[in-house]
Amino acid sequence: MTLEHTGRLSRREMLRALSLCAAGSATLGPLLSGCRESLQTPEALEKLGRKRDALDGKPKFLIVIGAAGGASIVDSFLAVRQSESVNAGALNTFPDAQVQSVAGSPFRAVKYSNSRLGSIPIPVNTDQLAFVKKHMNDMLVATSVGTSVNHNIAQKRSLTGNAAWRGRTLQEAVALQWGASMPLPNVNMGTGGYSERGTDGDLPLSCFGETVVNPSLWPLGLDGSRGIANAPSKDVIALARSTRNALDEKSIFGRTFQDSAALKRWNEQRGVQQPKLEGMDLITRLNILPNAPPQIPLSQYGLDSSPDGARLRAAFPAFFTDPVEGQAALAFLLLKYRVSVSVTLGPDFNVAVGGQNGIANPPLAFDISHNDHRGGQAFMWARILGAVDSLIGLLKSEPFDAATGESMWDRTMIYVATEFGRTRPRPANATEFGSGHDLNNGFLLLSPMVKGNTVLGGMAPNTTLTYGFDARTGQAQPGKMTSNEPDIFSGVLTAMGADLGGSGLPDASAFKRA
Amino acid sequence: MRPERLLLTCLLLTGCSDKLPIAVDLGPSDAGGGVAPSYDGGVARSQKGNLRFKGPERLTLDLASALELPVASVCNELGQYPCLNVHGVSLGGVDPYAHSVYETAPVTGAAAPIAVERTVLSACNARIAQDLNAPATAVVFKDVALTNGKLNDPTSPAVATALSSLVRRAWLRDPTQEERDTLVQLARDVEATGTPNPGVAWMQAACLAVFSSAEAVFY
Repeated sequence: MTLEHTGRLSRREMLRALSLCAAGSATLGPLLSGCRESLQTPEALEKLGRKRDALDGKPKFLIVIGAAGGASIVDSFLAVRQSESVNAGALNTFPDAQVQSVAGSPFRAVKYSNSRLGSIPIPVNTDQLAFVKKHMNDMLVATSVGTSVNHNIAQKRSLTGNAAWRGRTLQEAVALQWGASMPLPNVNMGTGGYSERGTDGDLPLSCFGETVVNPSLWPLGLDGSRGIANAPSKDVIALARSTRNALDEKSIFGRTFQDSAALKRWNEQRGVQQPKLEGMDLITRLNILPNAPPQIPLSQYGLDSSPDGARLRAAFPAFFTDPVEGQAALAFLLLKYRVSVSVTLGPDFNVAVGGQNGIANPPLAFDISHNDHRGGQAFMWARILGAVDSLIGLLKSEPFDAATGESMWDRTMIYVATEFGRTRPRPANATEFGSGHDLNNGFLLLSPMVKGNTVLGGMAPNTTLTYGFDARTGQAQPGKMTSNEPDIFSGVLTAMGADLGGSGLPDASAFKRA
Repeated sequence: MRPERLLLTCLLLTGCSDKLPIAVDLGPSDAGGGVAPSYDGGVARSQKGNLRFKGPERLTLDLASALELPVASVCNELGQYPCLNVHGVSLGGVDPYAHSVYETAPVTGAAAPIAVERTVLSACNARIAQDLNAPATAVVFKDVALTNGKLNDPTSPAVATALSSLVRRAWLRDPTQEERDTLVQLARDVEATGTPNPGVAWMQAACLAVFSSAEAVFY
């Protein structure tokens, strides 16, 4: 070959090389890519062990709780006792008596007591034991390593698996899978990154979240005229609407902008979605408020409380002042009345006044851990677990399908999303200390659809860092500390039985109940 | 040829395309695909269609200004919770301090059209009540005669003036004759429903129709 002697190819050799390249890419390319794709087919993945549900056409539900600020798994279900760690005094380990075990369960429960929460003079007395005992068979904890310690970015990544499936969020994926017949498939009451849209622009617009900020008063906006003093009859409203639509259609404005995407969407919302929402009488069904004049004069305005109002107010007595309680109550109603298949809620970083001791939500939610790690984590975990417990109770008591005997809970997944964990070091043996953001953590999933009473991954007591697992087999992998955001994302959807064909998501069968 | 040059040549060749760049489609060049110029002289469809939804503040302030109402009395849920707060985010607004909503929605939400109607209807009711209770200082429905709650004459000059006033306040232009006729026909249709006080109901319906129209809520 000329190349060996001159460092150049002759014209003939060059043509031969080019033709070989072309022939090679034409013949081998499809074979090689076909080989690669054949490993990704649903059939091939099922041969490898992926479990899938038959799609029965009935909805499943997702409740995402955005535990804002960094809910630390080592301050709850994977807490470490001092006696277990050689670095106990320097790391976030608890006195042995504060970390309780439950027979037959891998979960732990922290008991905490202090007379103050950081610089806030309110007592914190919490115990996670009752929750674990009650719900352990529907609990799964999956250890995690994230990719951001920025709140907003990490919040969003906890919902997209760091863009694991074209950037869509879990809520959008669930809305696409099960929400086609729902008027508002995806309602989002979360904040920051938990309320952001995903980046998969190919999804139908209905899959993106409808933002709700005031769960108690928002249902008043689900009918165009009811509850408005001296409003004309529905017949007259219907005439007004048809006249308006006719005027819009003929006006110079309407004709000039008839191709506008905003106007097309508006007409769709006015003509299709609005009658659907009004037809379901949601201004009543979703209305948690009682008739309590003069503050809440429902009857004076021709309105009624939801038929479920009394029991929801009993389950969430602070619904009007504590945002999380109000959100949880509305979440239940949105699912019960088949308005939505995905609901997102959670505390935000603002102080909420209320509760037993005057503070329902401390500043920065879980992120108050910067000031008082243990107290902040204990207070906020109690807050989250309290809302989850009430929600599960309501969902269990709500029939879904009389024929199959399923309750709403049987078809619901609660995913406690959070940004990240917290740093582990502490001043020697300190019980009050602050913590920073740490990529190492774990996520809590609750559902009859998850493999219950299970920890995927594990905890290394000497570092108090979690280690990873094989998302397909569930086998723990001590020492594995690599990011697994797509595994968590896939695990939620896999456990729910979503159709993941073509998603490219990793097989996360380990999350699914057999 | 040196191997690196061969490689470079290959890359350049594969980067080239035999297709000419596609021109941006600016739409039909004649009226055939557009709007027939038989109505009001015809209009050309906007190619950009870059409409903006008014949002909660602009909607409320425009209603207050157009109907000569104090901002605080435009709309209050249950008579005491300002719609601007209750429906602000549904209407695409922000709520940074109370609920950490820092950015406006990129598109209108599903509840937005309903929130618009509630806000508009409340404002219309407030205006109509004032016009009826104090005819001497009526703003929109001035001199519109009612007998037993019915319009005396939907074709009267007073009704035509009221409709012009309504449309000018909402759309900043005069109504076309067809638009005026449509709103007069609305009076007859409302009366045919048998609703009590059909004259007042027509005022409400006409006000709602005009102020919740796309022309009134987009810009």
